[in-house]
Amino acid sequence: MTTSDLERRLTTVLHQHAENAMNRTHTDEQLQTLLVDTERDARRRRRGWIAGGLVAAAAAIVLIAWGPDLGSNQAETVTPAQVDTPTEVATGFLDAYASFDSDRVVSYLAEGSSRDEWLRDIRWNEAVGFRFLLDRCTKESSSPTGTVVRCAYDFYALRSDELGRGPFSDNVFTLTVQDGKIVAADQGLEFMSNGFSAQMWEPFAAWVAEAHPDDAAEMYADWPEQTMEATSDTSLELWDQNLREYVETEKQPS
Amino acid sequence: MHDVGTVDEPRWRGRAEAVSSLFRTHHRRLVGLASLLVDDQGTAEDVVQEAFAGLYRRWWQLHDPHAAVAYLNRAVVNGGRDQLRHGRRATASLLRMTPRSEALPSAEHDAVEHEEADRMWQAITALPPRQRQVIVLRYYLDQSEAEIADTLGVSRGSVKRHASRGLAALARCLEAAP
Repeated sequence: MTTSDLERRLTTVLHQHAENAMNRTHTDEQLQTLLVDTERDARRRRRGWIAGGLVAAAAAIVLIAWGPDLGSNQAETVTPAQVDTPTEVATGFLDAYASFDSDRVVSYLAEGSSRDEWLRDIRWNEAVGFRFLLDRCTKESSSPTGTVVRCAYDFYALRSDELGRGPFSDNVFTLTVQDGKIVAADQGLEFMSNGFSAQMWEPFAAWVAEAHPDDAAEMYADWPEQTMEATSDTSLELWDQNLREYVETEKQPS
Repeated sequence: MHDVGTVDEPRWRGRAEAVSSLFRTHHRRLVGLASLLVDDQGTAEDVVQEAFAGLYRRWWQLHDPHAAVAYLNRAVVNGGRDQLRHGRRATASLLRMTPRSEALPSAEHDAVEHEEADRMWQAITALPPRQRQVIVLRYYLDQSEAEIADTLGVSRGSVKRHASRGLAALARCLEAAP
């Protein structure tokens, strides 16, 4: 057998084998598997982003428009007669959190709370221009371990308001209040379904990775995954600086 | 040379949508490539899935969207080699090139051709991983020595040696067959 004959047969066999494999695979099914797996993975990672500050990321976000909205939406839950009720405690806590008022946030926390994490997240929220728009707080249930209050909210984040993106809705804070203090907090942040991920988080992540890759490595705790923010002093400065540049870039006519 | 396609999806659409679009365009082709680098269909599909999962994770690092296809090609080639190195070899597909229904000996000529093809495929699967990679890239993807060197991250001289040894090994196997 000559070399050219061997090469010809080899080429034929390789193409036949590959063609058979291609005919046996099911691209649509495989794509569904990939999407389910990556979504599950992303959810797990982003949950870490949220839990890192207990609720922090979104909570701090929220608050600037809080006051005006309370009057229209919270009549059933927050009235002058209910001062110091669990609902009022939850509302006051979130108001402080959204206003980046660290001292007031700490004053609401029960002993043993991870105060450093809260303070760290408040600083990050402030750096990235979170705005928290409370819809209403509602008493959910009571038990010996505390009263559960749910607070629905919309938010702007990563300076999305400056770009006309958002507010991002369908989010819920769940706070547990006992003896006038916050003993547990959990944030529901529907970042995927409400468009925040697609409209803000991912585009900014793409932009900063391309425009300032060295900064991005400092800004994300899980670089190069880019699903979790880093909260060092340097990182906070870079978030603030790069978000401002990103907004200016996005505002420029293409 | 196989068409590797182009990527015109704006990043603004989000990586899930962009990666899905790439998947629909390139999945079938990559499964074919992976099937030449590992020894069973399931492993080939796993290698391709892992390549796309890696692309999803690294999406924001791709400064040039066209780099996505190059990344996938490399990920499949390297993923296939890793599979072989870890000894995850299956035997089910070693003896047959085509589905059984297509390999029925309806004619003596066809039977002989299938036997030769089977022997050739067995010889390919018996090659060391690096020789097998070079042979596949050269004779399936029709890559040049320079392109193969770039894909595998080795020198052109190394590509030449592996190709030569691989072809010699295949020739010996075929000549030794009854």
